[in-house]
Amino acid sequence: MPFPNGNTALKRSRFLNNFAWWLNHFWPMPKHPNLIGVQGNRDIILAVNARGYLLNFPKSNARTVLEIDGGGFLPEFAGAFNLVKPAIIVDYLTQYKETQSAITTLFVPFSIAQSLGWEAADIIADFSISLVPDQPWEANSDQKVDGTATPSWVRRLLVALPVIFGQILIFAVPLLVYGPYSFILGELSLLLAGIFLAVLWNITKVCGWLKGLLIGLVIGVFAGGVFLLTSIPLDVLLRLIVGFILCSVWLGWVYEGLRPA
Amino acid sequence: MSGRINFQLQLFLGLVLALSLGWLYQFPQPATDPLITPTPSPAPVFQNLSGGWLLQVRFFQAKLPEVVALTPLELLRLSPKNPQGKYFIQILDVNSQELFIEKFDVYFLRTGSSEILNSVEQSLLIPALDGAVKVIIHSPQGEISHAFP
Repeated sequence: MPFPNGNTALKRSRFLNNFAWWLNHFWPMPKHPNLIGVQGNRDIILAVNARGYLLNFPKSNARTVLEIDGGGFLPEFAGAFNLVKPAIIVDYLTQYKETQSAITTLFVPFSIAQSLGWEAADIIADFSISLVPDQPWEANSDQKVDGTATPSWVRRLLVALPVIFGQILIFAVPLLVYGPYSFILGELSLLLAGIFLAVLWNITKVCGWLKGLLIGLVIGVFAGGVFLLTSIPLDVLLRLIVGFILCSVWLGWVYEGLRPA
Repeated sequence: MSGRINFQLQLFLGLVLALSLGWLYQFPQPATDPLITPTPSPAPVFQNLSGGWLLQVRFFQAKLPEVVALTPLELLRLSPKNPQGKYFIQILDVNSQELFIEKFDVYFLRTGSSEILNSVEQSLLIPALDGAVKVIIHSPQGEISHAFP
C-alpha cells in the first residue's frame, strides 16, 4: 500500500468520530475546503471536505492534506456523482508546486480518481498520482484500490440510498401532519424520485436541481400517460405527478451537496 | 453553475417542501363504516337544528354540487319512529342511465346520559358524473329524490 497508515490520529473519542462518519452517509456535512500541512512536504493526500470523514482521517506532519470541495459527502458519493472538479485540484496543486522543486506524489482516494479518470502513475500538474482506499484508516483495505467492474449507475444508487433515507427521515414529521396517506405517498415519491435521479444522474451535464426538474418532468409525464389508461381520477394523477417532480427537483439539489456555512 | 446552498437554507426549504407535499397529497379519504368508527359532524351551519341528522353525499371530482344534505326533517319523514337504520342511495346518470348504488347506515350518538340525535356526517365516494343526475335515497318507509342540475 503506497500510503502509510500513519497514526497520529486525533485524540477525539473514536466512538464519536465513527458516529460522525456513519452519519455522513445520510447527510452532507461540509467543511470549508482547505490545504493543510507543513510547508516543504513532498506528498499531498487528497480528501473531501466531509466533516465525518475528516474526523477519522489519519493526520501526519509529513503529509499535506488537500480537503477538496465534494459537497460535504464521503468520497464514494462525491466520486459517483462527479462532485469534485478537477480544475480546482489542479489550481491548488499548481500553487503548491511553486513552493516545491522535487517531483511529489498526490495520493487520491480511489472513488475520486475513478470519477476524474485518473489512474496510478498518471502525472497531473507535475504530481505523480497514487491511489489509496476511500477510507485510508481502514485495516486491510489495500484491495479496495484495485477497482471493480460495478456499473456507475449501480454505484450511484448504492451511495444514494442512505441519502434518500436521510431525506425520508427529515420529511417524515411534516408529512405526518397531514395524515397517513400524505405520509406514505410523500415518502414513496421521495424514494422513487431519488432512485430515478441517482440512476439517470449522468444523463445530462446541467446543475443538480435542473437535472431533477428534467428527469422528473420526463418520468412524470411518461408515468402520467400510462396511468391515464387506469381509473385514477385526473386531479389525483396530476397531484401525484407534481409531487414527484417537486421531489425530483429537491433531490437534485440535495445530491449536489451543501455549501459550508 | 453550482446549485449548492447552506445547511440552514436547505433545512428551511426542506420543511416548506415537505409541508407542501403533505398538503398536495391530501386526497379524499374512503368512506368508513360509521358503526365502527362514528364521526360526529363538526358542521356549525346545522347547529341551530339542535340535535338532528345531517347526511352528506360528497361527489368525488364531479361537475355537480358537492354535497347533498338531508335535513333532519327529511330523515324523520323517511323513518319517523326510528331514523337509525339502513338506507340506500341510488345515483342515476340521466344521460347514460348508469346507476350507482351505495348503502349507508344512520346511527345515534349518545351524549351523557340522555340520548341525543346529533348531526352525523357520512361521506360516500361516488365516481365522477358529467351530466344530469338524479339522487334517490331509500329507506324501508319511503324515499327522497334530488335532481341535478
